[in-house]
Amino acid sequence: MSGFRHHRGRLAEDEIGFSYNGRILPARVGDTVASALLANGIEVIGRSFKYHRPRGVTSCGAEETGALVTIGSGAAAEPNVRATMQLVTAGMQVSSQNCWPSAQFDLLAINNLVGSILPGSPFAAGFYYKTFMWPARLWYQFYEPSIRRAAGMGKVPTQADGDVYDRVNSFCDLAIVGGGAAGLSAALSASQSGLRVVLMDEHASLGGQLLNAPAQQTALDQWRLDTIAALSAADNVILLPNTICWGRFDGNTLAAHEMVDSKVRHNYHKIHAKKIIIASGAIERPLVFANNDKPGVMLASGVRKLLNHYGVAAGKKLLVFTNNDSAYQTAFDYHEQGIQVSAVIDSRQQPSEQLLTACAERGIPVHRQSVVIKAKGWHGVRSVLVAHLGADGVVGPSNSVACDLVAHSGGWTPQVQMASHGGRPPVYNQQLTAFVVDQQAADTWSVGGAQGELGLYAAIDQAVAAAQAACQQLNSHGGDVVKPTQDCSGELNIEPLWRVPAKGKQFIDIQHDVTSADIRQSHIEGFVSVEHMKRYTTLGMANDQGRTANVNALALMAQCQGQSIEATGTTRFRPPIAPVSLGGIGGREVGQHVRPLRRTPMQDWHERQGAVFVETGLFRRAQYYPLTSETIDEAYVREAAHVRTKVAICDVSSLGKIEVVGPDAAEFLDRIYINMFSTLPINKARYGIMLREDGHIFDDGTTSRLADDRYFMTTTTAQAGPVLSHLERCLEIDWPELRVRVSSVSERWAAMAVAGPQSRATLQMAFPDIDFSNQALPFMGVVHGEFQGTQLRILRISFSGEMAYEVYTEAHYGEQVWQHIMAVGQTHEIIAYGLEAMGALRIEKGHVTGAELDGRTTLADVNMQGMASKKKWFVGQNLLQRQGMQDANRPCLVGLQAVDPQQAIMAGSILVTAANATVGCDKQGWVSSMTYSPALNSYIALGFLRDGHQRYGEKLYASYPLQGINVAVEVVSQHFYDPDNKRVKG
Amino acid sequence: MLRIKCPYCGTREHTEFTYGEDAKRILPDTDASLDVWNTYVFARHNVAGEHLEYWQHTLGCRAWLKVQRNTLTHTISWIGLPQDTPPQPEEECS
Ligand SMILES: [Zn+2]
Repeated sequence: MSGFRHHRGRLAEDEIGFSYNGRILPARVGDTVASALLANGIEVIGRSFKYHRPRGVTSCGAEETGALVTIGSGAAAEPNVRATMQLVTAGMQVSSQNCWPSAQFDLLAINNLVGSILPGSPFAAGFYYKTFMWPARLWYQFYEPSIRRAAGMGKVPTQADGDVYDRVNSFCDLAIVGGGAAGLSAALSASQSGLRVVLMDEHASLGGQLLNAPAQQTALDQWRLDTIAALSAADNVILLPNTICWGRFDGNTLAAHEMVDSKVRHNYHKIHAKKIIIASGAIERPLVFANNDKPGVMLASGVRKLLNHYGVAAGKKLLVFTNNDSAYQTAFDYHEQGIQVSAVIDSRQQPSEQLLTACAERGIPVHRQSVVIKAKGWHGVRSVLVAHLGADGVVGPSNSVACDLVAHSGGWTPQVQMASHGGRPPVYNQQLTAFVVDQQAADTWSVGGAQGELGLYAAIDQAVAAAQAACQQLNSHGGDVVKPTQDCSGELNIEPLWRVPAKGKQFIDIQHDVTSADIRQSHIEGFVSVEHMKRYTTLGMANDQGRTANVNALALMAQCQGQSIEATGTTRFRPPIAPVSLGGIGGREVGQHVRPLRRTPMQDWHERQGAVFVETGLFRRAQYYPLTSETIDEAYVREAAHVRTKVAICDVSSLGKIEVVGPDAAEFLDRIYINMFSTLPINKARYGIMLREDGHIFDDGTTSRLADDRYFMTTTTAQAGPVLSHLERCLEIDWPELRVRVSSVSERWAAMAVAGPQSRATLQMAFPDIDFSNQALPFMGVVHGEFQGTQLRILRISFSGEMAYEVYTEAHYGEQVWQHIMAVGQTHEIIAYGLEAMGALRIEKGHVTGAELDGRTTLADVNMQGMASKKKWFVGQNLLQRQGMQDANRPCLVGLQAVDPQQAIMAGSILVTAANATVGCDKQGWVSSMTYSPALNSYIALGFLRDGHQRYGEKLYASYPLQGINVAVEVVSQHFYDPDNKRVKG
Repeated sequence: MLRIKCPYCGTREHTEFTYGEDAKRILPDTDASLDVWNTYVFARHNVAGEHLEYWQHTLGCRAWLKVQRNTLTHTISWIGLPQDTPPQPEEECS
């Protein structure tokens, strides 16, 4: 309980209330969850991923490694939110995570002790890969459940997310990533050109590191406020605070995530920029010493921002530990505010005289050439052990120094992720002791801290030069920017200290509990590549993406390998660089907006009839129309039997329909189909098959000729799109000389199949002006007519094997025509039948569908090789001749009838000769589709069987080992019903 | 995010388009040998650099387009109709 609200900072005076683990706490408008919790003296916020060590706030930004919380509850709960990035709103529910029963007292912290007693287990480097190599069954019984309970982060809600997310597509001339001094300067310069500028910053307040400095009327703050005011007033500038730019993609596209948290929760911005300036700044690196994860150990810059921006003192007794100049300012600011500074521990031999004098004036003791070897305290820090660091790298005897807040700094790491996206490797810079990207992508500039320039004036100069260059390339002029009256040199005088040479748990990646010992362990086990070390130790794989951990880990790895950091190299950066909600990426494209329903013209009718629907592509087709308390099996068998005995109607509007028009239409179809269409007489239909170039069956359907130069093609529902693209491709690329146009008319025509012995009589009554006699409209004939002024196109074709017609009419009148046929058909007891009955009928006839034509079958496989014309060339003909396609041993299509007629055959079964299929047994074939046949009063199936034609009469087993199902079947011809096709022609 | 400038519709996102493979393949004669057809259908250069390829503007005008795209940078340097040829012969690294 050491943090407290010290003064107002830059926040408003207004107080709001929020709840933390059920307690109501006060906060100021503008507080983050982290600053509000610290202001309330809350030190331990959660427990760590593996060891369940107490964790608190470690920073003030996106690099936060300790304070992860869950916001909200129920369906709206969002786990693993960085408390430093989340603004408090009135009534917000915040809860700590990964602890039981509470963050203060966590029983699973036993992991911490076990981990230190038994090195190498259970949570040391590589524990996922090697610790649980014992009998596999133990994994399910013991390890997996217990690890799930022990390790991990917050819990993802299981209910559907009810919040609204949005997507914004925007276009600009210049996009600026980061709103610190550099980003603001670039925007101010570019704003004067009149070009469209977008500036994003992940924080609620723009200013970046400027916010770390005190607020009270300083030159820096005045400059910041004036610049923001100027930008806000400019019509051509859009400022997006609370917006993290998380990826740079091809074509200068940026992806950004805005936390809106009003009616819309998050916005996903897709920004198409002509030019990009990356001003994402630099973040502070931690120092690596024992217990550096303890609540109260924080990055010096974060400690400073907490005080100056949020008015929160994170402790009552500050100790600074550093290897560079930048952290001294934190000590000075705390001293200035009257908070005790117990000491500055500086690992360098000779910090500058200026700093030493400044400390002396303030009475702050400086321990030169000294290091903190360990932080001590039960939950939070209460003291540290300080020791002299010898020139030989060995630490001397230690003294205890009391403190409740350790502000540490190991230098600064440029945020190069954005510059690096798109495959630009970061390169090590000795002077900065960090990586920067030297080669910028086209139309991109990286400036300020992101490029390793830590000085204020220098960063502003760099940013303005980049903005002016960008404007110039766009034929405009960026203006000049007046700098603040006070500079910050940014001079670090850093001396690397990658790890304090002492014992204890020294954390590198605090969020994933990866220690310096884990890095060493991975080296000992032979992991040479950085990428492998990263995966083996899971370093940098938590939601902070290892921002603070990366450089320290690489340096330690290089030390282990006895080589330079340059030689060890770094890992590649990939988007997203920060956690992004999936809701944001999806935007409004959820549910039916991502998978819209394609309605057939008769959809309403099916719904009114209480049809049960099945998804086929984007359609929901009527599967069956149950009578009261009828099961699916009862319904489809009744419907199928009705087709065979009376008359029934089925909605087939989902079929693809394509008009093929032009003088060369006949020639074109001859090339597309394996069979002839140029010989097809006008007003006749023909069944056709088309192949892919590789010789496999592509699609089938009925195509009719309406005129010399005009055909009406139908395709299967599933292949409608691919077939159209294929036809267009052939015409535009392969045969541009053919004078043919194709266009999809799928949406223009409603289609219904009227099938059964009474179909002719029904249609004759429905449309008395059309002659349906066998002479006028024979099998495969086409006739045209009208119904109440609406066009009709009627094909006498049959999929069911009964006398049948397909009635096409204008889509808008589909339901009227359907209802008319239903009304007239009452005399003949017409009913509607669904997809399931249609399946039963076609299997009885041995017709193939997608289950058989699955993209891997040849003509011979489905016994259709005879259909291929020998008088002409067609697509797929050449590669159909390949040896493998002609192999006589390929399984071919057969019928299968259950020996016990009432025993169902499973689709997907394998065909074997013995009653019990065993692992490795000889699979003779498989079952592709099955049904109960009302015509045969038996379960029947279609399947593919090796040497199938020679095996009619043979008894096999359709075996489904996963469910222990074995069904005795007899091999028969695929044509179960009316093999001579008498009924269709009647 | 690729943006493709359709000669008919203007610049659109690549999500409106469908990739249509290598545009340097030449359709063999109908009576060409099995080897020639096999190469045409299955063999592809995995080009690291300038690549000539087809795209169809499936969710726009449905035109098939010829596109020269650098497979390393995704930069599109030229777009034409299927019968057009790009201004300079593209370099190919294999
Ligand atoms: Zn287009």
